[in-house]
Amino acid sequence: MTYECQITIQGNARDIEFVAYAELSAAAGLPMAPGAVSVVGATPTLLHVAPDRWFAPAASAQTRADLALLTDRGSVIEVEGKWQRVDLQGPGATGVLSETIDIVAVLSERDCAAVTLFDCPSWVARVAGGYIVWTRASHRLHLQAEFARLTGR
Amino acid sequence: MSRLICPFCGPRELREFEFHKTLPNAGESPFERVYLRVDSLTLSVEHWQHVQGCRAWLQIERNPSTGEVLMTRLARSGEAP
Amino acid sequence: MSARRKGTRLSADTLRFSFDGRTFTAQVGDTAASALLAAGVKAMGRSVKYRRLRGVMTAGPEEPNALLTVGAAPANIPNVPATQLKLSDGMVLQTQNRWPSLRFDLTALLQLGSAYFGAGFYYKTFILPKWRFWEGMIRRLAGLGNAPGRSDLPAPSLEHTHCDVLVAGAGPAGLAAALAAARNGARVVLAEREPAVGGELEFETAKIEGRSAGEWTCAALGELTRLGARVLTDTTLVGGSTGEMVLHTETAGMPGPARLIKIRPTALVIATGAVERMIAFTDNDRPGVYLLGAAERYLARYGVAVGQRLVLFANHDRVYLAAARLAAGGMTIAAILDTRVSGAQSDAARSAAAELTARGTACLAGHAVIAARGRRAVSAAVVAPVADPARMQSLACDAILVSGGWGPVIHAALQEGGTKRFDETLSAFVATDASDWRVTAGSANGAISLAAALKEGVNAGVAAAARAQRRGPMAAVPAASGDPEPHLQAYWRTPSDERAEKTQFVDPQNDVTVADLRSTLAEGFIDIEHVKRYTALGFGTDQAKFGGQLGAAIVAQLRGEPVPAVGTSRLRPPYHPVTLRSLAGHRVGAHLRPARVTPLHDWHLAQGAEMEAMGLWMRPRYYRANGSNATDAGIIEAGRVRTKGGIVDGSTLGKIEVAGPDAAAFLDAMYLSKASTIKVGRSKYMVNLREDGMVLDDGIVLRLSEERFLATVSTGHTDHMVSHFEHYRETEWASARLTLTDVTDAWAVIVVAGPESRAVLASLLGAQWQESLARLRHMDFATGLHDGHDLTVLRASFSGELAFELHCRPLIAKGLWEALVGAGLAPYGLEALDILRLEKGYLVSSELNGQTTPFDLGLDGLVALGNPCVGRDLLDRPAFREPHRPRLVGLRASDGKSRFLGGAQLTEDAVSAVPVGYVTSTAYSPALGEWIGLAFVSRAVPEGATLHVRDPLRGDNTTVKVVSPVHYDPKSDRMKS
Repeated sequence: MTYECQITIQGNARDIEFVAYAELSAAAGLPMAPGAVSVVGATPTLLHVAPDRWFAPAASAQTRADLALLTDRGSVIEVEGKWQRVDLQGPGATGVLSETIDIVAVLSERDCAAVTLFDCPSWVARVAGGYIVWTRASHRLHLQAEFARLTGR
Repeated sequence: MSRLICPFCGPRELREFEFHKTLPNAGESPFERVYLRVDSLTLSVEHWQHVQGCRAWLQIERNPSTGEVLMTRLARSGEAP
Repeated sequence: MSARRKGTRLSADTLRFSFDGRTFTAQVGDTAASALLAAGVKAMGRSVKYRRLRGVMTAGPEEPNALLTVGAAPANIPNVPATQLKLSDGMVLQTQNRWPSLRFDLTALLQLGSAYFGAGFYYKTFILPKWRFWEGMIRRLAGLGNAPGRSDLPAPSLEHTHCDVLVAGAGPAGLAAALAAARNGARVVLAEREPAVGGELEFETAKIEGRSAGEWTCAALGELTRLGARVLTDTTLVGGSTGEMVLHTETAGMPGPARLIKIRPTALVIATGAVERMIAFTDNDRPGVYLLGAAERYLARYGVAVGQRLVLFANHDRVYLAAARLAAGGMTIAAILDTRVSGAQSDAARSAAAELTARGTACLAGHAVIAARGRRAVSAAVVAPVADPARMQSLACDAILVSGGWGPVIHAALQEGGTKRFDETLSAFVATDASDWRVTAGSANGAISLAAALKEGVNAGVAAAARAQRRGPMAAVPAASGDPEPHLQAYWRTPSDERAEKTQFVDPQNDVTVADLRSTLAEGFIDIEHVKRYTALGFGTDQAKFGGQLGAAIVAQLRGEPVPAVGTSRLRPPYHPVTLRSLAGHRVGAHLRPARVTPLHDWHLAQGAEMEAMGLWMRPRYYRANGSNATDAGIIEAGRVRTKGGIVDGSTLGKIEVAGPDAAAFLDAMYLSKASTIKVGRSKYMVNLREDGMVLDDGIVLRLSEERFLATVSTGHTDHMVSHFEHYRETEWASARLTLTDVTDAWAVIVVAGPESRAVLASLLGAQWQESLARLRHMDFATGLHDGHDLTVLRASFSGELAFELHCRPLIAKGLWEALVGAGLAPYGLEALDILRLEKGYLVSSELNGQTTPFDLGLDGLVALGNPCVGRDLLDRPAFREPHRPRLVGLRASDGKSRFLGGAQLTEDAVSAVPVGYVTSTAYSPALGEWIGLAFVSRAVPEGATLHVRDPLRGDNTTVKVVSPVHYDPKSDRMKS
């Protein structure tokens, strides 16, 4: 069975992971709730993916400046190349991900989550019209092959 | 009916978690801490990791006879869900 | 051209299929069983052990006999019940367990020796001259069908989902439960094994809410759809655990494209119905013996009469209604044998019997079928009064229809360890639901009558919805009328002498007879679980659906105990056969495991690398331009590194960025020697201990800044080491100011090694790198940018040559790699990598096997530094200092040329059976021109000693000399130049 879903494989991005080791107040500007996502327009800028860990995909100059203010509370780690971004758009996007995990249940109370998709460690965020998946770059061929199979390519 | 409730990620299937070990009783010798445990029919205090999710380490209290999970918290911060 | 049959499952369109080489015509909607019966075919296989001719007995997944093979080898699919096989045009079917053909089966000669094939025969017979003499032949004959060589089935579609209420079974109880739950606002999923909902309502002549069963079913389905319930037909609940249930859908019948749904319901209603039971009598496995309900199904669904002159045999009232329906379908009912005495029947039953008698049927109360007669199929039934079995008479017939009552389908409640009780009214086991999220309703719960099933269904649906916090006004139970109680009286087998018990079949699929049960009990296997395993009762596709409760009841009779005391064996998933293809999901072929690839993967493939799986990683073992096999190519590639230079893709190396004010102190605790003494811009070779003092892993740690380190760990241990660090960080170091980030995939690693390495690098990296490159001492590193992206150049060596590890962002890896190749440095693979490190005595997983102490590996110097770290506490154990503890040594062949291999044992002389050590890894060294190795050898053996290599599996026995593990350049001058 194939799903109606557009798969777009994105290129290299200068991503950042910010890992906190001290208490952060809301004033720090990070999305505080587990699974919360900050956006600028429709673009996710900060994802709270794990305890004390935030993901800043393709971190902008503004995001970098904001995080630089927090270096006494945590570490800014450059992870360019670690994550491969894949966008899923279309009515079948939920079905594609449901083949491997109950994505509806996982995202029922949050906008992003750390998951394993087809055995590939990944982060997923819900966006308008579908999802953005970041998977570990060494797993890119495996995950892309699964997505291709399910969307009839 | 068992799923585990990760304090960060919410309820997730059991297969996402990996059991590490039961905690030793406090104040024992290094040898006892590494090799010996007291078996209990009613309470097992354990360390698990949410390896297929947020990778947090959890401290879980379980009834090993019934499988019922009594308490789950992040190993690190002592926060209850 | 035969007339089209009419049936509720049939369309008028035809199709053709082949069965044992003959072509048949069928109608779309036919199963293999219905089509073959319609064509007059009664023989559909032979039994597994005795090779008795067998036909179909049922119309459902409980079919024990008619298992067919679909398709031709190697993609054949064996053991598909003909009752579940929906035919498609061109399908090729074969019968099983016969050779050379079904009709003329030589293996049927086994029947002559059937005395030797009783239960547990391989413990008792075929012992002389020895079992192995017979084993080959017996194994060839054993088993159901032939295993396939591959699967051509399409990938199943998968779904992971959840709902408020899952209802398994859409008969009267299931439909009532789904309706009640959906009306209260629950999100309902209703799963039905058959292609249409309704269950027993298909044959029900009673009325529900004043409407016919068919009308009521239609209306219920319509309302469920309007309320948003998800109704899945051709979908079976096959199993589940920890609250996640597994539904399996095969719309085209078995086997075909499938869907596997893993669904977590808040509440589960088990309304899976009951399966009709056989009664054991002599030769009850003859083609032509059917379950009573099966005959009704073949008539109503497929327009097939299983026989023209029928004998019916039952122990309850419903046989009379069934007889009336079959007679109306044009079949002659020769006789009805009711095991209950006259007077046990209800009024309705008696008047039905009177009508049948008026039309020529012999209704004999208190009678039973003693035996079936007929060579290839039933031609007569031998009957007698229950009270006087010697007064036999023979009734001519071509089919015997049997109903010994019903066995509730309690698998879903019991597979996860629920409890059961014995319902005396039904003489059957029902589940006693102990859990609060699962309830059984309807005939699955022993509520056989329609009114009771509807009531239980409604109550179950309301309770299930409530568990999901969905409530509503009091639910009304639909009123049903015209459905009498069956007044069943238990009857399990007809009496016979012990010789005839040998053909009274309890579990036809596994050829288990009453005689087998008797001898099993006599041999001491009394517990029902032992009986199951000794006789194979309930094995195979049957899983106790056909023979389970019957077997338990007969065992109880033979033991002289009540049935509840015997119980039934544990029921296991899947409920009915599910192909491995379905269960495998997406994990098939190349996707069995998630392969990991480096940023240079495409380049390796394009340039003729022979890739090998190292754990999950795909890595080049060697490059085909250098040789046709790993050994030859590895020697060329390794030799070239020492004479000129080469590059290897080391991106799989595990890398963890450790940062924060407490990073240094944390790493001090994680490693045998201190990290806090490493200066910025320097790196150090470090070793991790496990908490029990054994060596866990090794790697190089780089100090990037005062508060930032890069810890590298070996490829094979990366996931374990990341978890290891994370564990300590989140427990004993929970309040430390410290972060851990796995950056394995954020950095490609290109190792540039050999005499020309420095010059080539200098020529490729820009002007800004020249000074730092020139200043790099061994274990120094420099950081900067190349083509606008991060690059670290670490001077370290795993080959023993002058070498540099380039850590760069994956985006620029290919460009750097191609430039290095262009500058004359050829790539080498894992084979050469291993030769080079072996020549230097460096450690990999063959030596870091989790069973070696730091003393065994010669790391006493690091231990003596006294750094308090994980594992330090248990290093002082006396066992670690025993005089015979192993020690890492090198080996060379005494004759300077013989081969020896890793895994071989080492002894002090040629005949001793006590090893003093073993070889961990070997390679042919191009630098030294001979085979070299590393080994663990008892400390009592001195350097220079001669040992014997004992390799009984591969035969490379030779003698070796114990030498230093550093075979090449012992002062490491080349590396530090």
